[in-house]
Amino acid sequence: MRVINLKKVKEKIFYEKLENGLDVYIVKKENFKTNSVRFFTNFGGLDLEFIPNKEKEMVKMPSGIAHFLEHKLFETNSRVKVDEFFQKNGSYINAFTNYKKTCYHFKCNKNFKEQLIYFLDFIQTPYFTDKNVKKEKGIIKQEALMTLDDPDRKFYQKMFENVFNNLNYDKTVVGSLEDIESITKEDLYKCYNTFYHPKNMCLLIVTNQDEKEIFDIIKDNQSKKDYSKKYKLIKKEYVENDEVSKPYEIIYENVKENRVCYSIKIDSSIFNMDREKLDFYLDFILFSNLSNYSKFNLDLKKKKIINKNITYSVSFNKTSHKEYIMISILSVSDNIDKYIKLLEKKLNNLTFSKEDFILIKKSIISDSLYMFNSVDGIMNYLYNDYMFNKKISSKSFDKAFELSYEETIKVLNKISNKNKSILIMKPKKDK
Amino acid sequence: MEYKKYVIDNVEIYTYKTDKFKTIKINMMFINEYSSEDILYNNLLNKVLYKSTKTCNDEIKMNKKYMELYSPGLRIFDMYKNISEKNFQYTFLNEKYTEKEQNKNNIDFLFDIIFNPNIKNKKFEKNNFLLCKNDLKINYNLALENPNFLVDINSFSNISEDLPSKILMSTDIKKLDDINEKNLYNYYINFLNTSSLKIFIVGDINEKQIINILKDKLKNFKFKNNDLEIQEYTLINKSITNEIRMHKDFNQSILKLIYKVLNITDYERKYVFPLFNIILGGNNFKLYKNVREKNSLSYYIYSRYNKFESIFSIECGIKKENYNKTLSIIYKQLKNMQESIISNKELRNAKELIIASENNIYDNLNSILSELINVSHLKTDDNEEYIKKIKSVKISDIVNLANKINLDVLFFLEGN
Repeated sequence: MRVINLKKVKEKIFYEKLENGLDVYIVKKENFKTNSVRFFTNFGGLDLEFIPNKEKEMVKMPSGIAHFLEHKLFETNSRVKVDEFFQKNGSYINAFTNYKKTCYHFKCNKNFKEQLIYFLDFIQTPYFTDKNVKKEKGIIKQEALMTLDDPDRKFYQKMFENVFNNLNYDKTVVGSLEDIESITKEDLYKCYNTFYHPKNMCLLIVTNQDEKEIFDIIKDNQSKKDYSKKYKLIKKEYVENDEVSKPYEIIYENVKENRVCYSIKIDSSIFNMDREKLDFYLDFILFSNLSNYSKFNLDLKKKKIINKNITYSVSFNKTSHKEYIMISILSVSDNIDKYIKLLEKKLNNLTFSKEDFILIKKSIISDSLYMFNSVDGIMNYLYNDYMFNKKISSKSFDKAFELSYEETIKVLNKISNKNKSILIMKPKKDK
Repeated sequence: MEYKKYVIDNVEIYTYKTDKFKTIKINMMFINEYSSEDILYNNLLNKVLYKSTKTCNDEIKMNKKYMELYSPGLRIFDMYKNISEKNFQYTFLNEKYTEKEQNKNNIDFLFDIIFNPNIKNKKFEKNNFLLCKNDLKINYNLALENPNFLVDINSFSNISEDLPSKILMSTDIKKLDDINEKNLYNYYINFLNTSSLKIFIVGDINEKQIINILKDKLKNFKFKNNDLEIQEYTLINKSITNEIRMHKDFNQSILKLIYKVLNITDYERKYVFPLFNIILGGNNFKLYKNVREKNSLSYYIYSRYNKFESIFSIECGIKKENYNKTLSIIYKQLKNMQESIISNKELRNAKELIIASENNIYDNLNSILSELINVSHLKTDDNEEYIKKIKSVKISDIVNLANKINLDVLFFLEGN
């Protein structure tokens, strides 16, 4: 067992890689009653083409397969249903799937060890039948229809689709109605056997119990399960163009207000910097120039060029040969052309002061203190750190305290909007 | 819950000390009578106060101030019962983790937000006022794009009783045009003059220090003695179901039923109603099992109850062709509850969920604050007593309540 010390917040994370390859991280919070667990696999909505475990040929799965599998893992061969088991302990259990991960989670305040074992067992014992797969289709189709009525979700997906050429962002996480209908139990087993190997998974725990005892319980549980040591995951590698997939598009939906998204695609290697620090610096620059902290944003609102504060997101997207940063800048506007013109001008004249740097760094440090204020906050920290770095370390935490103004300026000077994609969503009546 | 109460002039202050958290939470609750016309004024006032003060007179300066104070969080919101409660809920990092004097600086800022707004010549400052007004309109339009919000507006506004939730959902956003910088200012002054104030504080606090700070801050204000009593709604009249159908260009249809519970007793309201709600519409209980799991008709189905107003609602997203089938399953499940087809396991599991949630209260500063407000202001049982009473509820109690229900609104948003 290795101890990861987060000295700034006086917290410790206990870590061990088990013999079967599973990464386990535990944070002990003695004076909290709540125990919280997340168990996730690196299998999400984008993972559609891969060589199934113990096979040789690449296969292509229907969209929505990771999400469908998440639903079906709650099915067991036992008379006691998964939900009922947790319910009788007053516990909360759920799961979610995003583009890159499928995550199962539960929270409880009694019988933790018994529930932890059950939790690991049901996720690691799939039970798919033609009948239970068919039953789920009606439910998931309703979920898909519900998401189709959410314009912001559609907009978000389209934003990625128009920036990336080949990464499957044209598919939704829930899947199309046709693809959901086509999924079989054989597909599910194939995906399960490929992506749910412990080497491709991670277990995060925040608990009031003794960490050594919990590690022992997990090790004992995992040692009884047979996983091949030769496991190797081969996913299709996509070659991505430097250019965006669609530079400009207007879509029409059931909305009352126009949305505008201005996205920029940048090859991350041009910054030649640790990605975590880079993420902080990009956030600093965008926050001070575009958010409701900026004069630019306030002026646009006063002149009614935008109707909502500008928001932004930064994502890192790995492809076979490069990593691309996607910066998306969003707002609501009745004066779209003017807004885009002024935004472009601003992006070509980004500024950043020392005063901004001191204030923003201060708020980042306070955020980390807020994070370690509750069981949910700690769990979110662990999950986000693992999502971003594929491991949890004290280094990533300390980086927030090591940022410099000079480095921020270096990053600022390299941001270019040369490679952009503009997406506009308007009411259907305007078509 | 062991809390302390202090009274400074007419202001009641309740504190609960816990050293589990790095933050402190303060809730300033202004209690007032209200009429339906106040809702839009309140919404706009909350926004205007949030966005600037006399000293930080625009959004940028406000944001800088927040960052200087180590990013405190503020929520301003109203709760409507038979009275209105305007809450300023402020969370900040304890000075033990930041710098000396930060507790006082944060309380100063909160008082600035509430009592020192951005006013010029007895009007709210125009630029900030107009931005807030526009923001409120846009937010309302964006909310209307959400089919579930559309369903809430069109179902709750058709309830047969004049309940706060009906009044809230019937608010006409067009009336926002009648509010200007001057009449909002008048409203604000009247609000301060007619309110009584209660303050709730939780966290790792030095009570003496906090009370002294508050004493000093409150010395220039005079608040009313609180003479308003919170009264729950007991509904007596049976109503004929109001059936409403609306067509919209959505992919999914949404079914919503709103029920009144007639002649509810105090015991039922507090202890039986929450269990009834879980057994009917909780995750993996009757509706979920039968509508979703057995018949694959929906992805979500749930019930929600409002114990204060004695109503509950059921909502699910379905295919429009499955309207009759879904409705008949919902009716069947309610009939089962009326005919005592409730298993011991269902009751036991529902109790476990409530007990677990009560046992988690002290793990979260938000829920500790809610508990402090519930016990001291709403005079509810503390959580140990509440758990004891929940454990004593019998199946026959649930059946009795199930036989008091009256379908008031049956709403269907029909998609394509």
